[in-house]
Amino acid sequence: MKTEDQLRLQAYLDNEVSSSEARQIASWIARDPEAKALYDELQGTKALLNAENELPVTVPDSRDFYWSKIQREIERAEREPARATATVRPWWIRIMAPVAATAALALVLFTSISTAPTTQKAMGSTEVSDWDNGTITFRSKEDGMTVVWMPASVVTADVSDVQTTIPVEPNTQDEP
Amino acid sequence: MIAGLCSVNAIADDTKVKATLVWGTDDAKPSDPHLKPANEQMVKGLRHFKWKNYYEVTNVNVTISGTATNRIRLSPKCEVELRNADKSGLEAKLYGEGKLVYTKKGNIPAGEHWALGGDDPKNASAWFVILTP
Repeated sequence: MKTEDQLRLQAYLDNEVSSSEARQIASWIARDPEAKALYDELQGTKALLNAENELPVTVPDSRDFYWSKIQREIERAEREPARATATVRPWWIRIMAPVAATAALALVLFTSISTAPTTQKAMGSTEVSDWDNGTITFRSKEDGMTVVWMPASVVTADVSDVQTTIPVEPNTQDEP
Repeated sequence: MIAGLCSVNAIADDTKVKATLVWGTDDAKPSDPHLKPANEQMVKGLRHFKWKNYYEVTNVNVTISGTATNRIRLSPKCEVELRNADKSGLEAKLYGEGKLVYTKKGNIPAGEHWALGGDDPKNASAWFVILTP
């Protein structure tokens, strides 16, 4: 018996054939003893195996199905970063971000002053109120002093000959 | 009567300011024997700067009457001009070799100082004109 005929008998037993084909196969089984014997054998085997005892069989993926799975995985991975970006950040990050930016800016300003040609030491509670055209104004509340610092590079005239005392006339008025 | 009131007002507007010229240096002893260590409170206010020693070159007490302008020579090249500005408070103009270098306006809080200063790269030193009300 051909393999194709054996498969037709199995299909008939599993009710997987059309009604007209089923009639043809039933007629064939009635006429052919070999077909009848095989049908009886298959029927007995099926009776012994119920659905619960049948071992699961993993059908190998087809080539197309295999690559389509990879494509779906790639597309899923590409969607993940976008979703993460769109996620709302925690409240404390939203609050602290501007604070951190301000602190960074203050640090840059402080560092610039500290490394100015004047080589000033740490400023403590000093607040810088003006920094224009190279002249730096800052006030130390602790020391009660407001300093306007004019580096030599920005002073247009020499004021620096202070090592020698001169006789001065106090309270001189040029104009009334 | 009105003139008398104006006169009283002008007297009431008199402002007293002490101008002190201070020299900042790393030298332990100044060459000029007339220099003396600067006022301790002033030195404390200048502690942010790098110089180790501060010496007082000179100081001048100025009384600014009304809108009068007082110009004081503190050294051969350094002068300061003080006057009462209308609404700005005190106006201090710093001159170097007769040229205007800087103008500062405002009110000096009682017990505090203004310090107008700069460095002298030639001598690795610094100068400060300190104004005290």
